[in-house]
Amino acid sequence: MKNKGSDLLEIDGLCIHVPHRSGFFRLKTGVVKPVDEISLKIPPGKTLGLVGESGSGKSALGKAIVRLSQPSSGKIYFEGRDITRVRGRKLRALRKKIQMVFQDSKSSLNPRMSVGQLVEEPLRLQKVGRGWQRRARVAELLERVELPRNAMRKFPYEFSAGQCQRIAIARALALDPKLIVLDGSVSDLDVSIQAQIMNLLLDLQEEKGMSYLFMSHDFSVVKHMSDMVAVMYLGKVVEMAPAEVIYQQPLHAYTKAFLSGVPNPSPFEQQAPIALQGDVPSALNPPAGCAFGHRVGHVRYEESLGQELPFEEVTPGHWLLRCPCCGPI
Amino acid sequence: MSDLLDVRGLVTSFDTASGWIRAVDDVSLIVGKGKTVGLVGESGCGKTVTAMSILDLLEKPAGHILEGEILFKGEDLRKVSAKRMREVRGGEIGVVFQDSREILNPSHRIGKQLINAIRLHRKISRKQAKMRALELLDAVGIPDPRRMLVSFPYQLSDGMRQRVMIANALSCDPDLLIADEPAMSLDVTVQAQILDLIDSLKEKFEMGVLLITHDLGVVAQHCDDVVVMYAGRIVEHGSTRRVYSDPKHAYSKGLLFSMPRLTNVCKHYFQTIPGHPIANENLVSGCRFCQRMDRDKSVLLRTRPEYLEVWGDHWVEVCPECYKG
Repeated sequence: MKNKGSDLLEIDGLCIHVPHRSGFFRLKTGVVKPVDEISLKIPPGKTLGLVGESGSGKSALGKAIVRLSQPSSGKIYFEGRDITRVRGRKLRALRKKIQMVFQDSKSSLNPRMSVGQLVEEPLRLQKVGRGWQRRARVAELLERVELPRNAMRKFPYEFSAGQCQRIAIARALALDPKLIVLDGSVSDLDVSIQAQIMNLLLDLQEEKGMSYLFMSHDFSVVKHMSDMVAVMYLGKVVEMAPAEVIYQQPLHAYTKAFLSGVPNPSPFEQQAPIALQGDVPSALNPPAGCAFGHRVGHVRYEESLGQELPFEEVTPGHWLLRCPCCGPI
Repeated sequence: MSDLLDVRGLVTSFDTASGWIRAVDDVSLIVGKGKTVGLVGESGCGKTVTAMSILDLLEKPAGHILEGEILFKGEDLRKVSAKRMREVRGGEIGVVFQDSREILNPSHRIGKQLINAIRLHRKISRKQAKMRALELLDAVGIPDPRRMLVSFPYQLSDGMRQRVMIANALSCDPDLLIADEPAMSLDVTVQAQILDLIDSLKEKFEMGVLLITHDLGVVAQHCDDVVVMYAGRIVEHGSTRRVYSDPKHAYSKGLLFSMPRLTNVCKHYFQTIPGHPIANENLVSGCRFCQRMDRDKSVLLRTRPEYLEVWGDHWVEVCPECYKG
């Protein structure tokens, strides 16, 4: 199937269902659904911010997009082509175009390789240029991510967390990808370093016109990066809208609760207390019906039982998981 | 003496391969009864070392307190006996550590750990201690305290484990609670619950709280006073409202500006602090923030900047480059 719209990445009803086995005979006792019926689009040169608490399935989705894991159903289209099941040489060619930066950059960099080798690795594996050309490219990349010149011969342990993140970004940039999946890439950093990395990412996007899928559990960080924002809860996207809209008029009860939980950095405004209890329920035993209505104990939760909740466009560009308890009536 | 905790001129030093490092350099702070003081700064600035110095939990023999007084209810904790210190730590001063996964013993049930901690400080029977543990677990909002007593730490979520840690810290009705990043690795929704819990318990038990964090949003919502640290020194301290509305030091300003906020417009650039926090090995005697900013050497202070009270109880380190009147 070719030419499905003009979007760079389109995800259609993607599911990752993993059988859960337990006991001596490893009998199948249930199905874990880290990603359940997700549909998203990322236009070229734009950023989609994906927010959700830990355990909501953000990383599982990211890994499926870069094809580190195999989705169980649904389709992923990249540049109009179905990439859900590409293999071998085609997959390798695809890796040039989609790259990922992981949350913990320190552990994602091989401690036995020098920074020069690390940044060169993607070029080497894709057989781009000759040795001296690759080394020139590495120097250029390190300069672009504002690392010192002598970094090339050093090893990851000699760098701070923020600098390791820069190395990981340089690695991802090496092949000039069209899409970078950023999985919580700034969340472990101090505010001043976090701000530097985010400025760098914004600069690079302007320069090269890449798209980002920016995943984080911090709503305020996502606001600084995104054109579109999707909110994930327990494997499902509950709401998706242009960034300005979602922050001003959130519709889903979960989005509202999540937004109210972000600490307000002004000591003069009292933060509204949030009506949210407990943790995200386990994906192994998700409640029947609306998962969020279950968590807050909504009075109309019963109505959502046994229903298939539709993901609908409420106003142009604003998508919402319709359910009797959490949305507007 | 109305102040619960009064730290004066604390200097803590570590003996490392590259010489003595003053990780905490002349830090003074006061926590009053029923007040929350936020200690903020980037990682490696000496926040945790300050807390560990107060509790006498420094890694020995490398870590030493060289100078200063730690007055807790008028008693200098540096001078008391080891026995008395054990009574204070966990008894009169409760502690919530950063990583609950590492602190709770993985091979003992929660109940056993709580009961032992209570019985260490109080001469009560096992049964009474168990009642007390149930009461505490209930107070920190754990749904089924009885089941919690027989659970192992790995069976709990991060948020629940952090609640158990808080219950543990409160077990002996402390006068002071030291919370070192109590909600750092938690999601915002859970984080808000934990911090609100600390707030409500503070009011209920009239504790003083020393809240160590790097999240300025948390400080704004939960602290009366804020102490900003950089490279082992306090650069600014004052009431939260004063410091947030009118930060005086370039570093505090930088931190506040580089913070992501929901009120900012979408997709916009941050004002940032260039460079990264300097390594502790090459600290200068002058203004340390100037060192990070790579300012012109000729204008730099050679000696340590003085403190100036710019407003009632709002102090700032006056370096001619970082503080412009």
